[in-house]
Amino acid sequence: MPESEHGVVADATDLETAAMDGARALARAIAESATFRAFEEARDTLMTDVELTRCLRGYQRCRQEFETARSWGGGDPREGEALEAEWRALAEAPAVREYLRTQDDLVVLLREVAALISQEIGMDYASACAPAGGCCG
Amino acid sequence: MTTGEEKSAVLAQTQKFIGALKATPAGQALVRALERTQGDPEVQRLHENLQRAVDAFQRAQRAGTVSEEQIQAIREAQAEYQRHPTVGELFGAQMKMTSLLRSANFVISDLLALDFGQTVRSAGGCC
Repeated sequence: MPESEHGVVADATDLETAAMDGARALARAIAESATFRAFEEARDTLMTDVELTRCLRGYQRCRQEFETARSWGGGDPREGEALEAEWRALAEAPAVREYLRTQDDLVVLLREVAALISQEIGMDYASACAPAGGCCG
Repeated sequence: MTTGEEKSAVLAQTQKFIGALKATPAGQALVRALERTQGDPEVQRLHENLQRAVDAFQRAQRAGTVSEEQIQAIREAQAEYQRHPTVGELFGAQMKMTSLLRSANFVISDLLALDFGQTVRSAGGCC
């Protein structure tokens, strides 16, 4: 029965489209919250500071290289200490402090959203969305 | 901090999204499969078997005494669990839901300009 089969397929697609619309509406509700707007403002402020973002990128690159080396049993502990000191200095910049503060608030809200989805669906949202092969690759 | 009112608005939209997810064929299949696996004593027994084998392996791993038999025991318990038709159904439904959740995560992350899934992963990483 190709006709009814087609009907079922169309219905499934509609339902999936409705789910994606639901995702979009959820994202909009998050975007409209003062928590997100504060984060967005802090993110924009940080991004306009060219020198600071350059330092942060440099730090992140070094941190990542160090973590990779450490996961393979390498990584000089002195380098780890130097990175910690660099981070402390960076985190003192008001733009970074504000970014981290607003990010913390946002993460609390987003985690609550994800926990609710995980609980109701019976699957862990974050793991399901992790890149294939796990996040440790 | 998020005010109570704001949080309610976000959580209400979350509930609507969950409702829409559950209404999809993948969502309905998942709900059915979860109910069936939870209500099936044979599946529960196979799951407990697997859990026992994994626990024994982890204990041995901490003590540094892992044996080939323990690894084999996990493989067998896992194969037996996965061969059960109800479990196969559950895995199939979970795979479909994973694909749906990833698409949704893409939509949400795109709108917020941040990776939602990655952001909510526990701070210590998943490992």
